[in-house]
Amino acid sequence: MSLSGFVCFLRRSLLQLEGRIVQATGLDRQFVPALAVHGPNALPQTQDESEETTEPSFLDHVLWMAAPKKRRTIEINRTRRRSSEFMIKVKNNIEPCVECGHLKQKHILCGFCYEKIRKETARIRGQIRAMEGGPLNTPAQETVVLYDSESPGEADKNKRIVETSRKRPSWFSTH
Amino acid sequence: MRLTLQMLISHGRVARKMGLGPESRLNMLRNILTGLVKHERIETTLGRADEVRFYAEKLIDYAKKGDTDTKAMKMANFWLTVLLYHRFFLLVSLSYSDPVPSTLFCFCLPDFYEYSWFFGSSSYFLFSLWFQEKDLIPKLFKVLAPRFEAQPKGYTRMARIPNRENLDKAAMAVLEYKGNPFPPLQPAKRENELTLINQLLKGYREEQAQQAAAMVESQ
Repeated sequence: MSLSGFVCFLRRSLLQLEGRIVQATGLDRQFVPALAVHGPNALPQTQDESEETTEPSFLDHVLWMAAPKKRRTIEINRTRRRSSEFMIKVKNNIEPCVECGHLKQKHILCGFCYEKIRKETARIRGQIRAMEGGPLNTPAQETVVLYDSESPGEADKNKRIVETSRKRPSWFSTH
Repeated sequence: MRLTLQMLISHGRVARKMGLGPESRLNMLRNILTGLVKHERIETTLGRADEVRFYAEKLIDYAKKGDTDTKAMKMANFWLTVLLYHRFFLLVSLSYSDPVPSTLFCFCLPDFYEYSWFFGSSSYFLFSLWFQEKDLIPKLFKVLAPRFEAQPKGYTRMARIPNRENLDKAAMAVLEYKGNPFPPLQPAKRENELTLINQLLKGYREEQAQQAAAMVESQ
């Protein structure tokens, strides 16, 4: 390389370095406003703002609402409608009654057995009503039901005895 | 009334609503309880039976206090009453003050005037006829209270029955005081000796007995 070329290179690099130092130190900055605007335009105007902040109308939302994209085919519809959710629910709490064998629900008394008990209770009540004669004649005594050829025992001393000529049913045991 | 969100949501509210309002609910329960004390076994809807159960047991608790206790007597007098007519309209003149002198109501106590309305010249009286069952009070104190003397609680038994046959298919229950003279709702379970396991066990017991007898003889 020639001497003049070297001198030029040196000069250029020194100028560059000087420029970088001036930039770094901030001596190149001019204290002048970046933007000058006419007064009234710079201040915010309240009327414009209130118009801008009103809620977008309903029609603007329409473009963002959910809608089905495709028609549901009859196969898909059938699968949904005939799923277990819409069918009658299966009951697995049905069992046969131990006494009579009729079906009953686990938490409910057997209908057949209860009907027998209800009829017998109604018969006993009919007899009690006949014994009492009218309303407001309930005695202040316990009641005991005795069937055909049964005699009152030790515990039945102070009780009102309701006698019937029928045979004692097998499910109405004496305690 | 203010329509609050609390009014629409009933999360955690356990008190039942029955009839036309709280007063109507108590009247209904009173009728049912009177029937229960009279007959000792009744059939009602599930909800009503469940509600009455509490009052039935409380009534026995009060009856246990005895005949002489004023509170117990007041309770018995209040609860063992049957509501005959509710809000019975009667067109009467303004000077009318005596009860209706009919043989039908001779044992009634029509002395409860709820309120009277005046429509122009004529006057209507709204009143409810209560009929106190005088024979059930001695029954309560002399029969039911001594019967449950030994038990601290659990005087009633409630069991569900198949739904009512009507169109409403209401869930029904039978409610009874324990110790009533009627046939039991659930007959006592008896072990069936003819099942395989019971037969095997019977054979085993007999064998053991034979062996024990043989041991005793040899010694």
